[in-house]
Amino acid sequence: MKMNAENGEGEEISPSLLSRIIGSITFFAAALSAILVVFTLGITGYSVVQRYFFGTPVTWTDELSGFLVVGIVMLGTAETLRRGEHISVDLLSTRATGFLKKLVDIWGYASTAFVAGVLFISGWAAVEFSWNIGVYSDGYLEAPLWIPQSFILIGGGLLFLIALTRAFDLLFRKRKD
Amino acid sequence: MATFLILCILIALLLTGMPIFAGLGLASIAIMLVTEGSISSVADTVFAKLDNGLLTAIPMFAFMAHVMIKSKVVDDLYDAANAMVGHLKGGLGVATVLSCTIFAAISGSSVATALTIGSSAIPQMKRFGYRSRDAYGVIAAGGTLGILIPPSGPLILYAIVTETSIGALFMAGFIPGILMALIFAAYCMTQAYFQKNQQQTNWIGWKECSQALRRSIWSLLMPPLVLGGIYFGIFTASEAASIGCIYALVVGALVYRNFGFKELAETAYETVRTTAMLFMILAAAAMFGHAVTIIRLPIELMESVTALGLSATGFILMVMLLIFILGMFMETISIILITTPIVLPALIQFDVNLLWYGILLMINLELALITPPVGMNLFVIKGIANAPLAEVIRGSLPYVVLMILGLVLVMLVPGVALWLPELAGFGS
Repeated sequence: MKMNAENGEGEEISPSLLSRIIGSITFFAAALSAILVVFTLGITGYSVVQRYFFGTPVTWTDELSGFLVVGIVMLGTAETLRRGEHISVDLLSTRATGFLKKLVDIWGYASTAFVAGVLFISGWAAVEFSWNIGVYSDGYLEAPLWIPQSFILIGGGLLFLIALTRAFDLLFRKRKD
Repeated sequence: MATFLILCILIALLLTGMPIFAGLGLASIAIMLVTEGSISSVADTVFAKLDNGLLTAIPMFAFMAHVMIKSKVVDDLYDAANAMVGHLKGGLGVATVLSCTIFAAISGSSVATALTIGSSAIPQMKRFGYRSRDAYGVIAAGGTLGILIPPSGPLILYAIVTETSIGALFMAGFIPGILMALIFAAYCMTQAYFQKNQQQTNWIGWKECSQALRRSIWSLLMPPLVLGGIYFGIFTASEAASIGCIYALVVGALVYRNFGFKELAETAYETVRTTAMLFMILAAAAMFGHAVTIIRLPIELMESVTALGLSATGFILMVMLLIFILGMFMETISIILITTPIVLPALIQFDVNLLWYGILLMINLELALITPPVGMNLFVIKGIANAPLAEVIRGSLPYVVLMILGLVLVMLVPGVALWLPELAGFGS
């Protein structure tokens, strides 16, 4: 039920230099995302401690947690694709072999790149709008909304790049063996 | 007609093997382009769906489960269950179900449950004369309890989509979860009377039994801490998950002394991938929900249901049948996120209790985990036991029948799911 492991780590296609560079960037983004996971854990724990031990409930943790979820997902999605771990229905695709298999894999990556591209473009529009108009979140933080929205832009961009380079690798690169 | 056509296109896209979020995204973008001629709402829809503090419960529960598995805190669970009931007729099977039940209340994940308990239980059951297929069946089925017994990741997602209380849903899942576990255990004991080769372990005595329990105490304390915190209103679901995480980290680092910074980094990295994998589908399902609302698909569906003259029961039966069929081909999270927004208006129109429907959905999705050709737990067992898939499927079939019985029972007696939340003051 995961996107073909051959396309993730341990793949049969040797990745191009560009693919490896983008792979390093997606790994770095995932590492940042991992820090955000630990940070989310920290602020939620802090919120509980403040409420029960000091009697001073923290009002902004829920809002910040929401922003952090956006960050965790969008910074981690490209790495998840790189490792071939996004869930897919591989009932038929795993039975394909040879040229058909290659075609199916390219189609999968190209479609992902398309969706990621749309995410990037509309993310750009959303960030630009929030920046120009000066939109702020309506919770206690009153944070400029373009900051958390930028995660969509970055995540969409990284996902687009990794999907596209994977598709190109499949098209033009030779198998390792 | 439009509903049918869109679902056909979506299923065709998904069958090509692309990531589910990409398939949902592609279908949504196509609908938006055709109807609105614009994709500007895509990022806003995705942001609005993900920007939700409640969602942190899922990465935190995933983090907690990864920590518990990596620090091997849960490894003593099976030994403790075995020490307590392994000496009974069919006792190893019962011990397996018991371990799965407790682990389900720790991990919230069916696959993690089957994977973790299966690794210890399968070799042990085979050693004591269980037929391979019987061992595979009980693990595959016991593992499914992960999505019914709270805390459950899929229940949290369902709660978010339907805007139902997570705590109430957890309560609603509790008795049906225990009931399913008891049904599985009863089946294991019955089976033992017909399978004469099955042996039981020797009774090790109360002293050893209490020692085994003491060794697993750190795992056993986790469910009361997390669920008790939610049920008694001390923590929200996200906070309970975080507290559970901190507890798991402390136990791993200070008690088991095998969880350091390296393990923390690896676990956080695994959590990121699990979260991205699940929430990208959630984001794409939100896009899909937005797109089908533009073309009035839920309203059309409602009109079709009204035209068919279906009663609420007839509608639920039809939906359950559809989900059962989808479950043979699709993964549980995707089914929740694709079907729920579509059927939700009809459920509200028919005044169906959303807690009850949620539990019916979860039991049906448990079935999805062990029904071929695509059943995640079947693949997990095949992977850990290196067994032929056909044998795993054969072993799981009796449990498919038992789960259908459980589903029918909860359908006929909604109180099984609703008694506990109603007792706690949750009306619907």
